[in-house]
Amino acid sequence: MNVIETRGLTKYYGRQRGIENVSFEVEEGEIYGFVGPNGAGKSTTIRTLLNLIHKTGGEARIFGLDCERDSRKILRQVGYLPSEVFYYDRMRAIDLLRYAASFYGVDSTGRIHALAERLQLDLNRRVEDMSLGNRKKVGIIQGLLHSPRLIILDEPTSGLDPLMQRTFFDLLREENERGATVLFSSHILGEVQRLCRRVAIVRDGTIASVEDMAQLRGSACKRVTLTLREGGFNPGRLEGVASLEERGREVTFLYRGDCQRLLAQLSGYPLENVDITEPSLEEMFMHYYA
Amino acid sequence: MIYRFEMRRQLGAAVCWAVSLLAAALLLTEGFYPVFLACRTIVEEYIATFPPLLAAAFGFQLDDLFSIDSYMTLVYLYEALLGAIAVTTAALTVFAREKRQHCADFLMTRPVSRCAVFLRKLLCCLTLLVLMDLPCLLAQLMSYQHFQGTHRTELLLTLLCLPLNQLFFLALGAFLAVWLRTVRSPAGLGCGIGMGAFLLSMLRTMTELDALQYLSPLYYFSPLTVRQTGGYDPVCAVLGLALTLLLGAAAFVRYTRQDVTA
Repeated sequence: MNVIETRGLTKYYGRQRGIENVSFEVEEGEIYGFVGPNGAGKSTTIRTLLNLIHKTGGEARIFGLDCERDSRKILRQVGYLPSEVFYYDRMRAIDLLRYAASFYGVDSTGRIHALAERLQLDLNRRVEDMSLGNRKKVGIIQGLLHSPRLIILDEPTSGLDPLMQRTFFDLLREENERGATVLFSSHILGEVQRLCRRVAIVRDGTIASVEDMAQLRGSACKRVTLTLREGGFNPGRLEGVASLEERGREVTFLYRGDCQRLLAQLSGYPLENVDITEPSLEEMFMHYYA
Repeated sequence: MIYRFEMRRQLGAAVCWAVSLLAAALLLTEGFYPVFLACRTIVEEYIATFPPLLAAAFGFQLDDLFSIDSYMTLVYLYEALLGAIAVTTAALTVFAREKRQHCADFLMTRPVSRCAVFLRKLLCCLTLLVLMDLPCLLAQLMSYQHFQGTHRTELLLTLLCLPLNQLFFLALGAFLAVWLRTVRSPAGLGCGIGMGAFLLSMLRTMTELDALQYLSPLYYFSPLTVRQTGGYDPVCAVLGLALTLLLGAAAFVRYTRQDVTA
């Protein structure tokens, strides 16, 4: 079953393009990545799904329900962590979280305290006195305290130190193993690479491509680094070479194609060293976006 | 949840305003009125030195000032000023809270409709209005009975002038909170609106231009009209109610339909 489905989802801010014709599905139980640079339309898509902004056209459904008409039912089972975390002033973290929990009609006190202990958050401090990282922790807890079926994260790790990021990812995996579906939006490609099963690459308000991470990693695309003893590198008639860079005697490029042909081409060069590895998602993304 | 949350946040300010309104009512009636009566001759001579327009602007109409019924119409202007500032500030604070603190995402991603949020905030503002006005109105009632006012049938209409006019300011506060891009200072804006309404009222009494009564929201429901005619001016009353409903409806539609920007 698809937890999230959009068909031709479009949002214009006056005449300015927000998103155009965005269509994708997120299956139940998967961790789905949303990757793109600033202004690509990731947050606009998420905010349209959550009925924070009204779509100009198209369809958006969560749990089979319309995102605008049935938003109340949907939000009962959704946890959301926005990229920028602002809360009411003059409130302690525990009071804010209890207020958040009161909307779901469940006693989340135990869960709040367990999550706070895991994230090392002092619940008795006022939110306005907290650093960005601690406010982000409050945001994580308020998004997870009601054990939602769908977790939507918009740049969730900004402000968290590396140790906390790891704890956060562990939390997400545990939630996913419990059965929750995760929509993870980020411009930090390493995070997406680590967690997601599929990733949508968002560019200029549309989805440029949806890639399966396993296939992406297992694809014939390789990162080739050559160190030449002398002379330069000419790909010649070798097809599938992209993002070629030369720095003195070192040459790097991405290659997608027949490995036999690549090795045959390389054998004609005076090589000091050859390195053939899996490219990072960032390198592949730069290839798409460059 | 939202009603309780807003009430807890606003209760302190509401108590302060209730005390202020009560203090003003007690000071002006129980405190000042007996002195006013005792010094009648001196007061009449003093007010006679005022330019007539200025005397009228401050509500000093000599021929009809010393009965408790008439005196309460004088006192009303100053209580209405305080009441307008109080309720406008409350409405601006309550309806613009998430906008000012940039936490609209937090509230609007909870399983509660925007209609429900708006209505609960409105209910909170109405509760605050009652809390702020009740002590003052009870004090006025006691003063009226203490000084043996004679027009009992008009007393209820006179006492209701304050809350009825405040409904307009509540709706105006909600409208501005929702429609303005930013609300930097609810208290500042509330004071400005209250004083603006007060100055319009003064202008009306100074110039005696009939048309200006329709621009004086402190007098849509006027104790002076109740004293003079036994009831409210129907045109002003309908105008006041219509504007209140219109502003409230415009605020509701915008609140429930606008995009919540990041």
